[in-house]
Amino acid sequence: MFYNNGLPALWLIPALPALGALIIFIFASRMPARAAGIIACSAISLSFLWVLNVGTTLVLGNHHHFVEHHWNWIAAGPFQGSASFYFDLVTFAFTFVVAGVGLLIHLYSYSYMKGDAGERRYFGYFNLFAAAMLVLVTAENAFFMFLGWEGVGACSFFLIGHWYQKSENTVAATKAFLVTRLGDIFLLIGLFLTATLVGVSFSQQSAWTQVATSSFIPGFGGLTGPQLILITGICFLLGAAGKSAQVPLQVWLPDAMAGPTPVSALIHAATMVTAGVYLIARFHILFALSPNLMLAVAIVGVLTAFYGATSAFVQTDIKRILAYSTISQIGYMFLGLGVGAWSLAVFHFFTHAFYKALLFMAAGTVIHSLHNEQNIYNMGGLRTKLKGTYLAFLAGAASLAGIPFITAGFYSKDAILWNTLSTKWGSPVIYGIAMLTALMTAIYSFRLIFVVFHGTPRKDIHVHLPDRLLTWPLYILAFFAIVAGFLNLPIVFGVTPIWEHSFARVFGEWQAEPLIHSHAVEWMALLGSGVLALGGAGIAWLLYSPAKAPMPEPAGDIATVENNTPAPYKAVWANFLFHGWKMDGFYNKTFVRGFRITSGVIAWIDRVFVDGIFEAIQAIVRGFHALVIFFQNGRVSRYAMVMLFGAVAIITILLIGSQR
Amino acid sequence: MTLPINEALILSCILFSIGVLGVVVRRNIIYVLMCIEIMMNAAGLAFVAASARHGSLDGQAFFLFVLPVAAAEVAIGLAIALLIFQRYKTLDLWVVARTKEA
Repeated sequence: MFYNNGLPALWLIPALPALGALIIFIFASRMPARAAGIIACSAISLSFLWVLNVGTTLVLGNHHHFVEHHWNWIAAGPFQGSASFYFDLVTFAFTFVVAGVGLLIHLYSYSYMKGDAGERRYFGYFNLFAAAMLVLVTAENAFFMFLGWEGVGACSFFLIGHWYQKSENTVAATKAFLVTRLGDIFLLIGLFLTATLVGVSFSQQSAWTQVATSSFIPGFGGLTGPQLILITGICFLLGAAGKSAQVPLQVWLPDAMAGPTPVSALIHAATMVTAGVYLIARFHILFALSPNLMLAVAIVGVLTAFYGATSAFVQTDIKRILAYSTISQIGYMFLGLGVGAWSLAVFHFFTHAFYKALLFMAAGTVIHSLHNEQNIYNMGGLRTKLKGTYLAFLAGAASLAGIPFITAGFYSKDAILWNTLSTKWGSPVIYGIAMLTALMTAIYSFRLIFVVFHGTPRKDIHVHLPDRLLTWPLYILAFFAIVAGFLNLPIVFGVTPIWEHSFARVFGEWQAEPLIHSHAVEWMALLGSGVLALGGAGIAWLLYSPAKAPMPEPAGDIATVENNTPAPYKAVWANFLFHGWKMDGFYNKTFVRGFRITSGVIAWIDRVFVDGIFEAIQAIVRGFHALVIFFQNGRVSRYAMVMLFGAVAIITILLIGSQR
Repeated sequence: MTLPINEALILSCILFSIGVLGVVVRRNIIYVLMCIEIMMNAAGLAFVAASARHGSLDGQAFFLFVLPVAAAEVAIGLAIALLIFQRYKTLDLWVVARTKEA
């Protein structure tokens, strides 16, 4: 049961947290609140141990992948979705993060959510989320993956709206759900196209090469193979953009910060929002077959990276800064996918999960210690009071900024930047924008450090010291945020990049090879991005150092869902960036209002025409009814009269007939 | 003397019409029963007249059968009228028709 032919069973990975969620939901009313957290933590830790077991078997046994078939789930014509599991290196990377970082966040939540009214519900959904996410990344085919895909969306909705007593939280949850649903519709269309063209199993994806060369495919109205590939890929890209908060569907993520901070760390930083990266990496053959598609992915990625960095630059809420920074970093992952550096996109996901989960949890510790203060301009001087948190946050922010040679973020981001410059799908323009974004990333990362932790406290707030469960997960993540980068040292260091080398087995010939082989150029690019990171930190010191007068405290409160919150800055451009390029307002004016107008017109048509038809039918029936009740009123005299007229009519007819 | 057939049939028609009109417009059950009697007698007159006209006894024999039927009808009709009055304290047929079963 737990081993098939000596190989560890894969179904246990999602089944363990699912079991935990089941126990919590069934016995919620009969267990102490703290017990839910213990069950959830044990379930996810067992799952993590099992992931390690499967992963080491995979790596040490030098297998390409494991497949495990259980039963046929959907079997209808070309739609063959089976409940089967698939485990290769990409799955290992994702499950390691989901279960491993997930475990740390579960432990952290155990302390963070102490005394919360909805503690049992929280841990139930947390475990359910982990189960759904593990199904997403271990599924063998796209339909089964879609089950997990929707599962994480639902759990995200429940957890963003955890504090549902405040209406803006539920609005934020609904917004997140609806925007990602919009992407999911496209994902479904893409899945159906995939099912009819090549089949949904991940091992069938090489059949796209035959689709790419065929000029006629029956049943698709004369569309050629390459056109179908482009359509499918665009659908997948939009689906991934919805889930991963990429332009143009990025608007939900900053508002999703309404949930508890560990939720933001797990779902909206480390795992769920990277599902889009996973999707595209799984369908890399489809994407690699169309240069236009690759360009679209790269443009979406670089635009999002730029968008996120500029908006993060002016936010005042610590969680919103991190949310925009997540959008921006996932943009880098998409850029990596778009230039064919599949393994590096996964690598950036891997390092990002550590340092972003770390940053969120450290921010959570700060918020917790300051009694739910989230405005960074009300913080300051926390370096001495929260020393451990400060050091962990520093490691995370340095990794985010890409401080050269010592941080994981530097190695993963620089590898993507180098591929952007050097591979056949890359371009110097995109490289330039990505470099500019890297500079801004460094500036806003260190702005956080200087404003939150340096200088003197701006408000006299009593600091409530975090306990061990709130700090130890941070130290472990800080360790990984530094050393994870050494898994993939650049080739110019004279060593083999272990990560790229191992993943070559998965991505094979589809992995883009650098066209520039000069080590001098690569060194220059490497040092260039290092200098940008350090320069960004320096600029941040010039702008936000405590030696300067502290930034004028922005008027008004943090922005919420709607755009009508008071503008905190005097400058127009800063407010424009503060509101996320006013995308919410733009969407409200175009899509939301357009939708309302359209539905008003349709409602009018419905009322006048559709209802009109049925009202006419009703009037006819009523007429007949009136006719019938004239005869059927229960009065004998009326019946007698009807009989009389009937008899007279019959006699008249008979008489007229006999006359002829 | 021979029965003037035309006058007899016209009288029969007039009686029948009076009966029908009474059944249709009267609300009192007693009047309705009486009108039914009138209609029966009108039919009987037509039978007898036709019998005399054709020199056959069939019509008169028929009327002999109609008479007990009419008597039975009156007996049952009056019994019903009695029960209706006991139950509803009225003889108005419209009121009875409008009243739901108690």
